[in-house]
Amino acid sequence: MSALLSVITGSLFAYLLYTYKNYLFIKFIAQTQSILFVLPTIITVFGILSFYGNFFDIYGLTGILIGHVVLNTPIVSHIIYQTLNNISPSEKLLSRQMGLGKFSSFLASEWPIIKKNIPSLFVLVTFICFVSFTPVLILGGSPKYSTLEVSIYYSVIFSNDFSTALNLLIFQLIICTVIYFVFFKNFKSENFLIDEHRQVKTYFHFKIHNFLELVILLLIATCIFMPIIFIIIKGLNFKIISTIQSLYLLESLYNTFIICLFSGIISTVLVYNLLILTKKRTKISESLVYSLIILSPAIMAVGYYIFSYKLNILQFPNIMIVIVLNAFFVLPFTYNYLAPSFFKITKENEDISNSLNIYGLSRFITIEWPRLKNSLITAFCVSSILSASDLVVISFFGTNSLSTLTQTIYRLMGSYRIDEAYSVSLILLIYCFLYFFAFGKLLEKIKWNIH
Amino acid sequence: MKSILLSIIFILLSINFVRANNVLIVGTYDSFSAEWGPGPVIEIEFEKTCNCDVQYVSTSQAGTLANEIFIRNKDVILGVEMHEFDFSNEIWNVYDYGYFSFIYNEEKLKETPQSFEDLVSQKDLKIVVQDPRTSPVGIGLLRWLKLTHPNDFPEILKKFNSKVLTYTPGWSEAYGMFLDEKADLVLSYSTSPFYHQEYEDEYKYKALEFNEGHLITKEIVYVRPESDKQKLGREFVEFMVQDNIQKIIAQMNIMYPAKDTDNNIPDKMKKLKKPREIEYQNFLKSEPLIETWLEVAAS
Repeated sequence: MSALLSVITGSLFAYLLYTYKNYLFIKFIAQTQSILFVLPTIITVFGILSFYGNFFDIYGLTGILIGHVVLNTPIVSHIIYQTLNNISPSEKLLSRQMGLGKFSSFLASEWPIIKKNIPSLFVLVTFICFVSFTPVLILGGSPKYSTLEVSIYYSVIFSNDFSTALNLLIFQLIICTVIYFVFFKNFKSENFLIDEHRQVKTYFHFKIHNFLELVILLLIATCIFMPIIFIIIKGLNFKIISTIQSLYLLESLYNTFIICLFSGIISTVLVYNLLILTKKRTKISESLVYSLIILSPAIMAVGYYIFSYKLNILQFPNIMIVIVLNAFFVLPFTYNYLAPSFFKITKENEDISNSLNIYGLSRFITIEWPRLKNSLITAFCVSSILSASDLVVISFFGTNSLSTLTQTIYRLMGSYRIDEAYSVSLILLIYCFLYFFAFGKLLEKIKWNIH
Repeated sequence: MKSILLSIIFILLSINFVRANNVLIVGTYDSFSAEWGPGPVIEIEFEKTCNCDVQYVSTSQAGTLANEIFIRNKDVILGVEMHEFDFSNEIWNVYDYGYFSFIYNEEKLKETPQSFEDLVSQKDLKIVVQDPRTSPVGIGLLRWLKLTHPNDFPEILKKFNSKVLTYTPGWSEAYGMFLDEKADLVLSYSTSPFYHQEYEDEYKYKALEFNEGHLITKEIVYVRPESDKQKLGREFVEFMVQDNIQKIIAQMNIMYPAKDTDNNIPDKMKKLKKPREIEYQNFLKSEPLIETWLEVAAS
């Protein structure tokens, strides 16, 4: 239910963002929204409580729904927005020449793409909802909404009872698989024209429905950006100066950066190679990849407890374990960012590059990199900063000298220092913005000249 | 680009492989080992005497200190709640203690309940507590309620539940919500006001005192029998209850020191009223309490 709502809002938001992307401000929203996802859940939940709590009684099912929508809309909408940008301008022109109305044009060009994304996004969001029980617990107001996921946590952490945890997990998997197959089996479609690097200006006259759409857009934007506003207000307190000067901040900033960078690289490379390996046998490969999506957060939740128990991986330096586990954890996200564009590019260029005998690295450099650049960069940035938001892995393998910003926030909150926690959240936010833009700019500049 | 990456990898590796020979790995929780917690000071003090290197590995997930995977490869575990502790371990010490209590803001809450009965009958009271499945403080409340109301536990729990705004995963979330003025009362320790007085010069936060008495909670440090540093571990465990260290613990861990001599307790903590302790014989098992709680709270 939460997942469905998030996907719907996310798609709507993405579509609107896409339609009005010529406005600088809107473009800015579109590019930065995924940063929202990296904030520690607890901070976002506080934001939700402070904002929505003023209007109505938030605790209960409504609270959970609002929480999940606010938390997940950005990721859904960012992914869809990314893929919508792959619609070729000529397709848009064509539909305009054919005199299609707004709605039929939407049906013809945007909808197939959104539709293609929905199944995997749905599964992704469902699992996020399953795995992260903090919002459910706090916003639910009573344990009746959170029995399953907390049970898993309880049996892993407290009772060391892995078999119960595994059983519950398998139960979850079954639910998700069933949902997936019942609703989305026939939800695939391919509808791409050859891309051209031309821009189509969206001309529109200021009509009532445009105005309405803009209002909806801004409304959703306010709703999901509200936690950021909350943090900026709360973070700018008198403790921020002492926080900035502190050693723990520098250390965790440095660690966060290292973890982000390498997890991002590993995860992007893994997904990219996975895509190359599986692109021929689409039917089998897709189900394989989807099952990876279903499994991966689950492995996250329970798997590595067991793996690390069986294999003595503690002999590697801890930071490496953190990096690798994080890289795996963010795989489904990376996949969701990269796959749609990748399939499109391969579809367009497969035959021509085969006939020109371009394979391997040279194919990547000449054919795929220029076209996939944007998606690759986004996938890399997003998976990096997602690794920064991890708390579970770091809390198991972190030491005193190895902590991330997110962990520092929780540490501060755990010792009465809530003002400092808000300040660090603000710093984390700024860090993510900078990271996103710096790497975007840096990687865009890299030119591949092999001729 | 390449050289930058390589140098980063090199720095990374060199940081992690430089280690002293005689290392004592202490598994503990975040707020103890953090820069502002008592951990670093104690580390420096202990390293002066032991010719060793103390390393903290900390977790922010409540309850992990009893988790098999977390405690693997650790020599000493610090911060286990007494109910979760296996007393068959040989080398251990209680290093601090406290009483579960509800904290309120005296500027906001004028009418203060004196007992659980008062609390559940008071109108418009919003309480935030921790989920007993994920938080040791949460399960502490259930034990406290059961011990003070052995015969009508489900009934009082039901009434109490109707005052609960929400159950949070851990102490931090609950206390954060309270400081953010989302709730009137939060379940914490009777020494919590000490933090605000000592470090923020803020005197409006007070602990409720119930005439049924309060449940004590003790924190334990022990040497794992599997560790090959038994001697060093024992030294550390004994070091924790030295007077100078006890003083640091009380001051920075915001709990009463296990050796609670007048000299060891900070002045402002001395001024707080110590609640009456409930007397009881056996530790209550958590599972049946959680089951009852689930029946009551999830209905």
